[in-house]
Amino acid sequence: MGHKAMPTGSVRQRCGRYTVWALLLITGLVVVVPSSFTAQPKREANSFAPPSWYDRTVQHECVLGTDYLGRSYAAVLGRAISATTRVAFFGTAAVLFGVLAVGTLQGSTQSKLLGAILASGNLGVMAVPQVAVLITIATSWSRTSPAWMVNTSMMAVLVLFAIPTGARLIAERVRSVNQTRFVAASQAFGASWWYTFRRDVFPHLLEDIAWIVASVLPMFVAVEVGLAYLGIEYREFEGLGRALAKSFGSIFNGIAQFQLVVTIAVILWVALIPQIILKLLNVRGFAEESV
Amino acid sequence: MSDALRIEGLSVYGQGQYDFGRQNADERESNDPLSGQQNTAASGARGYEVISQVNLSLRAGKVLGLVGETGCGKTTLINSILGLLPASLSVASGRILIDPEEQPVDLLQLNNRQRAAYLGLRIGYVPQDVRSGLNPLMSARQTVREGAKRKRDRKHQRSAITQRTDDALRRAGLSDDFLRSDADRRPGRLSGGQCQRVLIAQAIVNEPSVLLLDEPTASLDPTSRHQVLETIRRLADDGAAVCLVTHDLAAIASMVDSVAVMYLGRLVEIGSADQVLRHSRHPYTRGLLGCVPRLDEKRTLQPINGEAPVSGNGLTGCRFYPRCPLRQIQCEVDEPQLSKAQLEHQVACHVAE
Amino acid sequence: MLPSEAMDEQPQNQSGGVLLRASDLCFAYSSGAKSQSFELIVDELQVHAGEVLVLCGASGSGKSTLLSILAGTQRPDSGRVDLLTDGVTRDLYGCGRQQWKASRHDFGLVYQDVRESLNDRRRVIDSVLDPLLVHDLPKSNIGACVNVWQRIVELVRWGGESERQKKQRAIALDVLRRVGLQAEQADRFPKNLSGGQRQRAAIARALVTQPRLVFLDEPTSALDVSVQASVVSLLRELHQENPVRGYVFVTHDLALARQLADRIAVLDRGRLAEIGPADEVLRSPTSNAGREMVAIARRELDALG
Ligand code: SF4
Repeated sequence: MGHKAMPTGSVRQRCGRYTVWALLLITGLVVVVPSSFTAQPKREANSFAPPSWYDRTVQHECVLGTDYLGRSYAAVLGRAISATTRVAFFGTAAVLFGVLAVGTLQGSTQSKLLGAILASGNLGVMAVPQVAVLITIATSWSRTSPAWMVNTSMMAVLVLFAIPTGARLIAERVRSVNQTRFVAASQAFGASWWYTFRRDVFPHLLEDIAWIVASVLPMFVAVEVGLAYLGIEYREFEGLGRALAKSFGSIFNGIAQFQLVVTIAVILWVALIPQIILKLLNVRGFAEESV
Repeated sequence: MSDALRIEGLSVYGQGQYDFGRQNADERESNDPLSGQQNTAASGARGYEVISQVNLSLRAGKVLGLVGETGCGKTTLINSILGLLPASLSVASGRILIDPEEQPVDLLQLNNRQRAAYLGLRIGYVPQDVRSGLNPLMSARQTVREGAKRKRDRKHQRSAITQRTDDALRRAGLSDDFLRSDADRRPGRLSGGQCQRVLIAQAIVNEPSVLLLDEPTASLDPTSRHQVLETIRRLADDGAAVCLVTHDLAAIASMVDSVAVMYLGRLVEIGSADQVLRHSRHPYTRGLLGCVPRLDEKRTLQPINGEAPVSGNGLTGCRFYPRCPLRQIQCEVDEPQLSKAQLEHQVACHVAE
Repeated sequence: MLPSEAMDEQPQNQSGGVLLRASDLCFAYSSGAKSQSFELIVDELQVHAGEVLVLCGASGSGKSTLLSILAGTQRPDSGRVDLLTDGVTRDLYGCGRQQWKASRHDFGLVYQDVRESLNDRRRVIDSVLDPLLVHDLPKSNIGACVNVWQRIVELVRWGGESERQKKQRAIALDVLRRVGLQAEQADRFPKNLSGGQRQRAAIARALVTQPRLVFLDEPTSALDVSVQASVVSLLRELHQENPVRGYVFVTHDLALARQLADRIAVLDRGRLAEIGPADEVLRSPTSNAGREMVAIARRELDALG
């Protein structure tokens, strides 16, 4: 609403808000740009060249050298970032949606059954079945099945297993906010459930949401990278994991070593984007002051 | 009667920003310079002032009512006696002498371990918030037992501790019935009045000579408030020096021996209950009394003008000046000191003298 | 209940007709332990237009529960609460959700706890605007379909306020000013206000829809005496300004009740011990609970002279 931008004491908030938009824009560019501006690196037929600084397709040296198929590694990396972050962002969004839905449901109803499911899903031992299911899925798809189906099925598993932790957090918060007097007051003047949730409960969930995003996104990146490195990967999907695995493949080559270091740095950056945003914004203060 | 605890010239200053987390949320005021409210908690060379030059003594067998509104520094005063000041506050000057007549010990000079020898044993303390003051996982009896165990002594065997525990619960006004059936319940299943008594029992289990109670009646209804205050009165009659901190003049009026009124970290009036409550001289005390609703006439309440600022910084002269109905030109520059108008009845006001 | 019966009640009191009538209420509450279960039974209780009814009692007497039942936010186990407005009788718990919601702008509620009575993540003005937005007040004279169109326009408009939003904001600011908060304070977050100011804002939120009934659940018990005095004075002024609005006020402080009440109802362990004009109840209480409360209040206040 317009009056939120009143001059009183809002300078800092406005800065905070602009920083958020700027960072989201940058992150969005990271996802979108590589796929639209770097062309699919041309693959020279049957050439299985060792990495070198000289790119034969463009006939001059390129920044990060070429990979094992003679493609410019910069372009490969760009596409890999794009692919991985897209998966990670979609996955995070799905987890967030699931967490909010389940958490709010549990927080408002305090259902015993749902509580038990969440609690068991929250146990540390669930990591073992999770990996087992993932490996089963990754290996059971036939080679001809489309890439998106493989990816979606794996993501669905990841999402399902990631929901309980966050959902418990959200449920607890929703429960405590629901007990406050201002929620009672808005219910008393006839506000609908959705209205109360949007105006009164949701602002109190922001920190938890930020926390969930910051921990789930790296998880998706790590799982993608880890599985690809272990050889459980889908051939058509050229994410960061594949790039890492391939540069490990020719580890005794100096150029490949350099590429390896760059890849690891890129992976860390992608995984830590939300953490960095949170740090920059000092999210706790941000949520209290400007929301 | 002898003094059990004497506070001499106590001043407490805060560094930097006020530590709002430890204080009542109502003390939180805006620190946002853009919001237009007086930004009084700004730190000066010595920080901002929370308590300034307070002299008080607690007499054995007497109840002192320390009256003041949120943010006047009354809880800080108690906390400095207990050595529980938050890290942002520090004592700038003054002494807090326990047992001042025989072997005076300055509590402020002690380190934490030495002070622990006094807390709970010589000084009993009942914290402000009943519900959070009790461990929700400990039954009433366990809570008091924990206090009783503080007194380490060969003589105090298990049975002796049990004995003292039950004795303390009884002295705190809990019935034998309660001891039999409810004492092993957790605080969640006790009423507010019972919880308050358990807290009191915990404070008195080692028979301290000084008892400090921070708003012991704030969350109670009049009936249980009355009973709790009667219990406190009885403890004083048994010889304890009691300090009762409260904002509610009316509640304590019938049971205190003397009253000290605080405003923005200063004592403004001190005297016997009769002197302060019936023949008050300071405009602030009168204002407070005018705010107490009475039973007999449907008299319009007389609220004091404006609201109290967070601290007295930025004000010179009388701290009450901006709100005082009797103010004179002199008051703005010249700070009134407590003066003996009559015997033992001291008022810090230029006009009231 | 027939409207004609409601009319019969009118001559009995000067201030106005019956606004709210509760009959045969029964509400049982227990939290696991037997010793903590309690039962609230009230046969008949009426709130008249323009009166201040104070519910008094010790803690655990069920006064707050009775208030929520009367205010339509706590469904009783049995019995009915009727709201009588403009000759229409509406059973608060018997009518459907839609009807219930439509009646909500006739109720204003103020709660006790100052710290969480307002949402700490939102500006005071936004909290006060909420009831207006929910009930879409002030009622616009444009048809519903235009309204939908208007909403779309409002949604699309980024930033700036529509005429309607300006109007609603003006109303909210007006009410806030009435309770003693300036526009500059309205744009703050609750943590930047003092306890008294927050409670004033909560009162403003209750009044912003111009309700016929205002319910206050110990609104001053967490405040200092001097702040309490100014809030009580404000309530008295508000009461005088709008002589047909009914107030239900819960407190355990009889002297405070004396300041505001036209009638006092004393509750004792879930039963209505007595109810009558404030003077009478205070002068000669008939129930044990009433006598005890009056005696204690007298003893305390006598010491003040
Ligand atoms: S010194 Fe002056 S301003 Fe202060 S209380 Fe007395 S009359 Fe009022």
